[in-house]
Amino acid sequence: MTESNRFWTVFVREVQSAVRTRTYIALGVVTGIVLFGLAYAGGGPAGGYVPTVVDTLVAVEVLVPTLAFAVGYRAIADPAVRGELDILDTYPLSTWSYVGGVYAGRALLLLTIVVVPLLALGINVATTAGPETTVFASHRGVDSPFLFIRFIALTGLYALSSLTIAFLLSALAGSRGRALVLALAGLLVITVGGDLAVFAGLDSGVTTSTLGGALAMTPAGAYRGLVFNQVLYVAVPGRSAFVPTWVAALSLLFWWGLTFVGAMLATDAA
Amino acid sequence: MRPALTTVQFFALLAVVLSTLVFATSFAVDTTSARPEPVAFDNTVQRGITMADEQIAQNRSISVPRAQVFYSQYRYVVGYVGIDQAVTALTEPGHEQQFGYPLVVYVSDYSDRPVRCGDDGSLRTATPPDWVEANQAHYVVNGSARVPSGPAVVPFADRDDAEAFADSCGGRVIDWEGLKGHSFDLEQAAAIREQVGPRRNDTNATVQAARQRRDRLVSVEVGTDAPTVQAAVDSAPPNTTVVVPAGTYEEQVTIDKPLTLSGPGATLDGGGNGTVVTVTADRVGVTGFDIVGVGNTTAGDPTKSNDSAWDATVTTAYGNSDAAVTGRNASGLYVANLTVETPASGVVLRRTPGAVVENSTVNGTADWQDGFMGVIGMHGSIVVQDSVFNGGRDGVYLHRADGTAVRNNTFRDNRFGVHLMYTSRALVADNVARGQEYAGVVVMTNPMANAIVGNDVRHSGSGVMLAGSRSYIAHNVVVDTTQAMSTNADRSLYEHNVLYGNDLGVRASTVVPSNIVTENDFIANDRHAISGPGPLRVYTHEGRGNYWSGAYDLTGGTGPTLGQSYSPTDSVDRRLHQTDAAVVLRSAPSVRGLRALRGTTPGFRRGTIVDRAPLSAPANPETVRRLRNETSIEEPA
Repeated sequence: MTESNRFWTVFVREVQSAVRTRTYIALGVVTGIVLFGLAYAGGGPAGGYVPTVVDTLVAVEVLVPTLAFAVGYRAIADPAVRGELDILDTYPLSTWSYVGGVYAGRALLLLTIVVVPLLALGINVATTAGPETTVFASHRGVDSPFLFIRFIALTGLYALSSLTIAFLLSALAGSRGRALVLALAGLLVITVGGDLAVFAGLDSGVTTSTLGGALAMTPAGAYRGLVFNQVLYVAVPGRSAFVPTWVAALSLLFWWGLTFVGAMLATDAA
Repeated sequence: MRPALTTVQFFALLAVVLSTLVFATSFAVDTTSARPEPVAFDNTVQRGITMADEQIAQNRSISVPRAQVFYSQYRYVVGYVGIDQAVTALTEPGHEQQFGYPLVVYVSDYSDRPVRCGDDGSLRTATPPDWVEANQAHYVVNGSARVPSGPAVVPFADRDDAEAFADSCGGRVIDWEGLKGHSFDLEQAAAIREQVGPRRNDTNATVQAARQRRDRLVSVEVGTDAPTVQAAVDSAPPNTTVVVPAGTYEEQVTIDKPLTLSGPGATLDGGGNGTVVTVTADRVGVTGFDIVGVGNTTAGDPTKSNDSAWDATVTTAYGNSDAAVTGRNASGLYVANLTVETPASGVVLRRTPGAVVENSTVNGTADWQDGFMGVIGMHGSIVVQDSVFNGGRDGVYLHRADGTAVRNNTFRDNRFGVHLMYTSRALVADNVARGQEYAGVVVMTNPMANAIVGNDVRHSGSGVMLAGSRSYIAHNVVVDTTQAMSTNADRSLYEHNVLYGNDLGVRASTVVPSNIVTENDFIANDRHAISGPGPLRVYTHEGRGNYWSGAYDLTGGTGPTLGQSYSPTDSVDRRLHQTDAAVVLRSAPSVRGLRALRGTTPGFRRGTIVDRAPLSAPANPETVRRLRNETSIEEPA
């Protein structure tokens, strides 16, 4: 059995167990209701793709890491507690295949929960947005479905990075109780801590010229910055360099890669 | 050896590759390069021309250069009649914030057209112009070419054609950038505010001039020197006064020379058929009568019009209504101290520049459908002041009466109190209106530069209903109506109005929001404001918004404005003055999150109004205090 086949086996096992878990379906449904509810409360879908992003961005920024932790906080901690990891040590299965397979399975689950409602919302905008009256000639303005696809892509990347962070903390936890506490702490750090740290650093270290870069270093800041750079910029003429795009993109990839490697090392140690 | 992929693995890999491709493509596409094609001008949201000018252009086949603008955040294509109008709008401060930036601007292209400026300078062409992108056109400015509203800016795609036109009609050729720096003499709403004082002074001067009709020497006394009023008029020398002693005189009178007819205590009875007093000469005065027996014909037969003007039908129908006094083609008419009972109109004035009606009472029909207008003013500026209009259709009806002043009158139980049609630059000030079926003051047909100030409307269908542009609506008080104001006028300034206890405060009804609404007090209305189609309206100007009863600020600020913005169209905010529970909902993280970034896309938002700096105290405290102390507010008149 090759390394990639072992990865595939673990991945399939994860997907099958996710499909069997009904609560994930509930999680997806609730996510959909929240996104649609917010968008409709804000009136965005009637306006177009960009207004819909505007209405949902703040919620998505908190919702995505929350879902990532819900899906991933016990991904490594559980098998460790049950002693599965010790048994797996006796198989010819590398940590990479194992953690990678579990990660890929959970990632597919998370992306389904996040992306499917967003796609549905996008389709809804496509069918409902438009002028209130057909008396006048109308056009699309700067609004575009591509902007919404960018939003989904960036949200997906943010979700994947959040999930590796959840994996790292799960591998470090060692028990279910600690896994929950660590997950909540991690969630707070991602959704509030990063921005707060930059905010606190504004008068001591972070300068006007490094503010964009500093924000781009945090996962949430990088995500939000990229959404401004790639989606909302059309609504803010005259402003385009919210955060350095490449720094933010690399930062998200870096968080993703670094915490993934960290999760593997921690799993080995567990 | 590497084993082959299973089918499932193959599709999984394919899905990953495909979605990566789609996402990558979305970033590669340049979404801002779209350049919509020009549309038929009739389908645009049109701005910039009064209906009177539009009718004149159509009637005399004058070609008016146009522009159409596609904004980045506004779904409708906006059409401007007159290039000067487009440039002025595009360079207005705050314009981009409301609509986004212009994606593309097209202007009329007169290249290869037989365009000319006739003997009168009017721009004419046998072939309608095509469209050209504004930044590729060449513009002839400061030439002799004219459109009904003033000098014309004429665009050409081809520079040689522009030069040729400038050679024959004068002017110089500039490009789009040069044109944007060009200053056009278009009055802004704020300038109308500055004109209120001068307009009052002009009105005073007109009234002073007309009052000279009171100072003429008495030449003939009816009864003593002549048997009838008409006989007295016929025998009196010009520029004297005919005195009519107390008593009832059953006759109709025609005055065809400069004369003052004065009859304090006298009653003129027209016998119930036709008009009682007809004036056809300049500088006539009619003062001090009770006039009864007016005919009940409210409108003339429009088919009998022999006039080719576009408004001939209106002139013939409305201008031939039976009245107590009718003036035709006569300047300097003075009508004062009359008391009129009429089943039709009170005073009908056609082409009577400088006419003054004051201190008179017109009692019309109890049901407005049965009667007609208190005063009709057509084709010429008039003054109506210090008079009372009870019942009937409209208290004062104006048709193409630019520069008219209607002030200090009282209107009761009419259809409309003051009704402006095709009338620009008017002053409607300090009138009191009660119990109108439809509205206290109404302005129709898109005129411009009107000033509606200091009026007090209560217990009516609507308060002040505005159409047109560049008007000034200020210091009005509207209480207990179904709809206090409509902002159907654009590029207008609404300030220091108090809208108290109405079903609805403001209906924002222009499709293209361009009004300044600031320092108004919205108090105890069921709904403070609602908005028709079109994007978000920002009711804040230079850091100051309006006072909305119920708006509050959790930051506990004590400054002149609240820290939190207020949206009267928001389903939570609009209940703040009705239930305190709305305060709790408004503080919810989800509700706050929704609002966090909302202001970034005003152009895409439907039917909403937001005030970014609501006032923490009423802008007109004296008026508000007075209203709060009045107990009659809730009761119908």
